[in-house]
Amino acid sequence: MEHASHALGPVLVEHASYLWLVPLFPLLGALVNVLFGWRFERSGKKSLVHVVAVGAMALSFLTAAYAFVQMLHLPAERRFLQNTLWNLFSAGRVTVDLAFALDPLSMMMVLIITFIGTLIHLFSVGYMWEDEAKAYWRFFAWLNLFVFSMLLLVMGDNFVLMFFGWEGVGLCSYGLIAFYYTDREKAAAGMKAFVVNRFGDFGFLAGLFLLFWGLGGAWAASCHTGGPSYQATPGMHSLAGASDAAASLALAPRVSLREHAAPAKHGAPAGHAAPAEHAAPAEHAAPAEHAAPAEHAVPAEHGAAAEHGTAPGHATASAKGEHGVGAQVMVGPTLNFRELRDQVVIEETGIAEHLKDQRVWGVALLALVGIFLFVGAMGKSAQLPLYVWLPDAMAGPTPVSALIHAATMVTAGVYMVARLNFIFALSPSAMGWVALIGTLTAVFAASIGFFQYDIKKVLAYSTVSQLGFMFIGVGVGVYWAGAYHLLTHAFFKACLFLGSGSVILGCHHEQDMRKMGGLKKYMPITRWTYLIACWAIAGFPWAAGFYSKDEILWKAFTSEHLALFGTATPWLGPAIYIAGLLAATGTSFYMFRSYFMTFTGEYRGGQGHGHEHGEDPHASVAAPHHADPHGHHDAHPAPDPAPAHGAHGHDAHGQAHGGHGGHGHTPHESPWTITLVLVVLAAGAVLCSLLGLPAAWTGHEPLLEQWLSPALTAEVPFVHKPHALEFVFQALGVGAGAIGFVFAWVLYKDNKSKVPAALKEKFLGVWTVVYNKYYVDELYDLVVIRPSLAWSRALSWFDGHIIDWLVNFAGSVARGFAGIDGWIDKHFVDGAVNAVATLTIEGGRTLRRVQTGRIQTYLYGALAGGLAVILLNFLIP
Amino acid sequence: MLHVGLQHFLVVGALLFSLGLLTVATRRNAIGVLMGVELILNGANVNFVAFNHYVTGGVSGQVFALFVIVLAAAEAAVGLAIVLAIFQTFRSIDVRLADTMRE
Amino acid sequence: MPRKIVIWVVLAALVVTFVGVLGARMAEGAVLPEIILGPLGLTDALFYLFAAMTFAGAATVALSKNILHSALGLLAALMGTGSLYVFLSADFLAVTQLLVYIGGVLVLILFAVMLTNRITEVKISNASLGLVGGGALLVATVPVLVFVAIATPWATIVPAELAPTTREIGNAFLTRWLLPFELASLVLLATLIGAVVIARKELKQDEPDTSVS
Repeated sequence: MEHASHALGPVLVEHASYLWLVPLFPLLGALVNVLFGWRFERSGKKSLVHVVAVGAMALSFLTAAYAFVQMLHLPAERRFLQNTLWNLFSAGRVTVDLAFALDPLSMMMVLIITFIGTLIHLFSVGYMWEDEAKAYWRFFAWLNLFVFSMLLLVMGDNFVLMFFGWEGVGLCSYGLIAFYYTDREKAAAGMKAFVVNRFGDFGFLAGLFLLFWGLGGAWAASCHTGGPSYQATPGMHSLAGASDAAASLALAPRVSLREHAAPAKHGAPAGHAAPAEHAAPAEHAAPAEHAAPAEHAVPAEHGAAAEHGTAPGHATASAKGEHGVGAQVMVGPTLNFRELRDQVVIEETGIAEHLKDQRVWGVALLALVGIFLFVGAMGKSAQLPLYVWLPDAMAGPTPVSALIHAATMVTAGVYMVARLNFIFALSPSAMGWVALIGTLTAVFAASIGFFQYDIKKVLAYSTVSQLGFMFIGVGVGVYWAGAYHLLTHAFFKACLFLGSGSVILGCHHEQDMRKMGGLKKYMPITRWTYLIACWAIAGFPWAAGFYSKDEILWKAFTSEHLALFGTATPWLGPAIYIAGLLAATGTSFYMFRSYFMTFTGEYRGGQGHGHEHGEDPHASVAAPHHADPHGHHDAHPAPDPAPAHGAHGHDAHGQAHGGHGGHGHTPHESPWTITLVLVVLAAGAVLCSLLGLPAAWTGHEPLLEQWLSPALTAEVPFVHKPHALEFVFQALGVGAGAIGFVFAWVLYKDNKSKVPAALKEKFLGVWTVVYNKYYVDELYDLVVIRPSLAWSRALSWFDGHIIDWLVNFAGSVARGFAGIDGWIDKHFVDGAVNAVATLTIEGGRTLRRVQTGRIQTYLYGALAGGLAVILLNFLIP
Repeated sequence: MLHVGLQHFLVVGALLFSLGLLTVATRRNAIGVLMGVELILNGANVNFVAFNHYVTGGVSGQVFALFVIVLAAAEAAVGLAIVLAIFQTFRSIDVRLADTMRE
Repeated sequence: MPRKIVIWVVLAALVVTFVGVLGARMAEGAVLPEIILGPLGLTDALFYLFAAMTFAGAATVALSKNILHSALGLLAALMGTGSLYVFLSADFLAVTQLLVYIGGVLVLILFAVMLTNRITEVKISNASLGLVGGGALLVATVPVLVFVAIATPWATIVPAELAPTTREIGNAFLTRWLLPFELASLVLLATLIGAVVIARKELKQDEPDTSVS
């Protein structure tokens, strides 16, 4: 492996004091809308709501873009912006700050979130204006809060902030999916999402705790091997700075690196509190400083010596003299990504080796960590066992589906795995599982997508499937391609979702594709953007999906290091490739099926508006039918260019009700906010391809890979295959997409073919199983819900009969004792108390005579007292 | 000894105090009792000022004397108001009569 | 007449006290000739005059049968005390004594006397009680007090020159004694209200308050 020849230094931090503004704006927007939104709406200034929300998003995006520009101007190895606000808590050696950090990976995520988030907000203006929930402000408040949480997740400098965001997006998705909470069905969908996510979060936390424990264990192990127990030397204090937080950090064991750079800068990777960093901003210009191959580990003052003893060729004595100026890496449990990365990535700390050696109950610790973390990712990113919430989550408004279920939240799991690439890369088993689950999900979800009729359901399963692709990417170790697919998917899936939203709006809240058709006549812009997005997702060249999917599958094929259960499985890579190719074919098929069903042929929505919504109860997201008799009859064929918010809101009104005045339910194109967003997203879906042109074409690494390489340091070996083979595989990929396209063309073009119905009749059993999503929900019901209900009932019975009996028995005994006690109380205690009272009364009656009411008496009394005191004074010397 | 010093003032204060005490002790008239109290307070005041002058210096003793005067005025006002109230109730200000609370 | 007996007892007690005190001083080795032959300056003479006036007034307060006479005696005693303050270089205090005590308290007392004793009645009673007990009280207290006053070796300083003290008192009130000063103002306010509330004749619902009593 050339793994070892790369010596990586600690992360170099660039301070950017404005980063906190990025999440701040959405938070402020949410606050304003929560506090004043209903007032805006009630006082007729409804447009203020979306001005605030969209404005907040736009500002956030602009700030993020500024950060991006700043990052572009930095040399590659310095691209790590950081902004510490204040200390949240310190416990022992672990210090958790409210700090934001941007490396190229999270920079990409932040740009996606803010840019696509802004577009989706804009889309929502048109989409939600006439919504029947009458809670415009609530929608935008949730939406802004969601973006805030997502930014926290992505930008958080440590696990704690990430977990805040992680839970925050879960909460917000609950609020958004259950947006129409008066509908039990939809409220239940929200709950389902929340509960399933919570289950995943448990895995995330378990993995995190295991990792934390493992790092501590690594340290303890080195202690027990005979190294000196660690004590912070005075020198450490002075290096780490004088503040309290730094002082507590100084207790942590560190490994000094021999580097000729001044310690003030990279110094103290633990040292966000180190004042020296702030003091020397001028020195940032020298990029070469950090790259020194730190071959000679300097044994840390405190005990890491044992670890280093394992590595040959370390001249302890000579290094000792230099370590005073070397950078230091904190070793031990940490919650900070950067510190974690530094100690794992930098070999001389020995932490990576120790982590690899750790075992829990006979299982490799790192595999457990990886798998548990991946369980968390499963929940958020809807992977195989835990994907069930995502299709149900289509109960939310369509922009929510686009924002949460395409662009941002579901990618959190992928992001997390990519973020912790250096952890996953240490465990082939964990990676193997990630890739395997991803593959299974991709195929499985794609197959369900074949026969769905609800347009949003198709997209939902498509999302699950595409997330599977992303996990294949991060699983086989081509992290940048996973992230790239995340990026491209964010564009084309947002475009598809918003396109479907536009269609749904145009068809008067109809989601069943069987009741659409022929819409290309009525909604040209929507149609073209939808087609482009389909093109992209199906994996045809010159649109983004091709490049990312191709890179993922190619690397999957060439990967050789994957393992399951600790045993190497070189066959897994090619197997994944074949399955992935199948899934890609399926993707192409069902996407073009949805396109043909929706946009070609004749419009079928006009008749029978009292629809039976198909077999699927969730399909009835449709609005209650508007009883508005004076709706504008003229359906606007083209978007009204009126720029004012009030004006386009009025348009939306007119269009949303356009067809209901009479009998002709003519579909119509959506207002400009919607179509503009669609066009931008479609353009993005195409232009993103420029970022990922493969090396086989251009001769250099793809732009995105170059960009992400500082953040994705894990080195995963791949078999080197000739470029020619890669071309062949690309051709195979295109061929798969083409097959899917052809099938869809033949079967669904213009909706004339009778073959689908015939096939359905012939394979009714299979069709039913697939249409009902393999009865997974029912399986959950049977396996999870019913047993837990039965268990609850059993516990309830136990509680009602056994526990209550015990409690009642205890009560009776206590009552008996209380009776006896009461008798004693009445006859003895009360007697005594009454005697005291009587005595007091009688005494008072007698002594009352003393109170004469005459001043003179009192005076004599006082004097007598004074005299007595004097006498006593004489008598007692 | 005839030359005036601290002791002279103290003797005057002591006599004032004693006569006030006698007044309070022997008067049946409530107003008389109040007058006795004034005498006692004056006796104390003479001591304050004398000690201030001859022992401590400064003005602290005088400040105390002023506070005593203030409180004496307040006491006189309230006391006399009470006397008036008693008079309105009993048509007399004999202190022996105001012992209704005894029973 | 028991009253005369009391007076004599009191005077006797005073004489006994002085003699006793002087005797005690002499026993301690006080210089006797100074007492007798020491020059009696004008200041000292005035002091004795005012001390005598104070004492006489106080005695009148204590012993007079007529409450009006008692009040006039109180006037004399207060004036005497105020004069003594002058000897102690407490000019502001002397003036305050004059204003507050004589101008305020005494007038108040006179009003009370007038209000509570029907003017038409010839005898303005100041009946005293327990003269025997009172005499015993005097005998018990006066020697002790006077003895203590004279016999104690006070740590005296050389008295300051006579100088106006108003400024210093004002400073003291507003700096070191600020809190008591403010509290005193509160006490006065409470007194004002309390006196009004207590002395006010209760208004009946049906008859308007016309009587001044």
